Amino acid sequence: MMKEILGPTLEQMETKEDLALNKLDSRSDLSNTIPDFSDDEKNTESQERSDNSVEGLTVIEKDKVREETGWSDEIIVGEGLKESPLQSSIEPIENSSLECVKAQNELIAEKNNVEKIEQIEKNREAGANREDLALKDLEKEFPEKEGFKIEREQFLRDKDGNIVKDSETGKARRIDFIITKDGEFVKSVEVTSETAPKEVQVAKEDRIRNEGGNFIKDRDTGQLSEIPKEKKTEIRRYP
Amino acid sequence: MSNIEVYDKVSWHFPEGQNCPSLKVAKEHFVAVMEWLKENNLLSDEGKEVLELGVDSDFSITSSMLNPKGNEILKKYYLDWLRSIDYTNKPNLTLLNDGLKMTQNS
Repeated sequence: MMKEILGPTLEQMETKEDLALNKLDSRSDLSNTIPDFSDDEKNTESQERSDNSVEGLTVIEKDKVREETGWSDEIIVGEGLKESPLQSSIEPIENSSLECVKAQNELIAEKNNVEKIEQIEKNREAGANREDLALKDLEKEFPEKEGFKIEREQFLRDKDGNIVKDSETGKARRIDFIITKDGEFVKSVEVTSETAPKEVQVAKEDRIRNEGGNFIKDRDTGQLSEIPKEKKTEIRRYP
Repeated sequence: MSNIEVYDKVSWHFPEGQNCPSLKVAKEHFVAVMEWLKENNLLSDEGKEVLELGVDSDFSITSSMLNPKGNEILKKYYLDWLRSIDYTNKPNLTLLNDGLKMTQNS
């Protein structure tokens, strides 16, 4: 690459360099004439190879080297080495690639943020859909025209209508669907997803039932209906 | 059928929901909105009674727990509010407050 840029072949340069070197005395003799090259000048390939002798040439010596070797001043003093076309292309490519990566990362972060924000509403919607499906099934099984009444979100209460709390957890039990007919208890249903565990909830309900929580209250009439001891809440799973 | 609307339920988020890490996290927005409803006198007697029992795994927000103004607000703004919050940050009530002001001014 360097030889293409600089023109002369390496062989030519070596030969010419040798010629140039041969024109000069040994380093000790050059001590008064060696010019003080800059670091840039010293780092050229030709300078590295002829470091011992060409370094520090005066103007006169530079003219001599130019004459002998045919090298340009730029080569001699190592100045003005231009970037290759490839090098000049690399920086904008690198910058645009970095910009692309940065833009992609921002898009991914924004997408993750949007997904995070939407998750609460998605879960609410999924739960509401399950209960809508359950309600449709119950309305078919227990039609209103046949005297059935479906109530939602009913607490287990005692015979006096007070909400009963579980002695172990201190929490009440609220049942998804209660079906009654003519004021009499028919069925209780709990709706859930296909995989959610329900053992804890079932155990709480059993304890509350054992502690007197065997009544539900009609919201419209205020009437209490007793749940027969043998009746257990049915768990129905929906996708 | 007793025609009540169920706005939201803790169990829909945990354990039934996706990406909700715990019951504690699931309850957070319920606690926030119930306190807000109470502070702004938007609960019915049933709502006040249920709130006294505390927000637990069986908790739900139903239309029977709200007075007419409370139902008006939640019907209009609850879903939008849910869309503005997530499980990882403390619920921001700005949207509900703005909705309440707009309703009061109309």
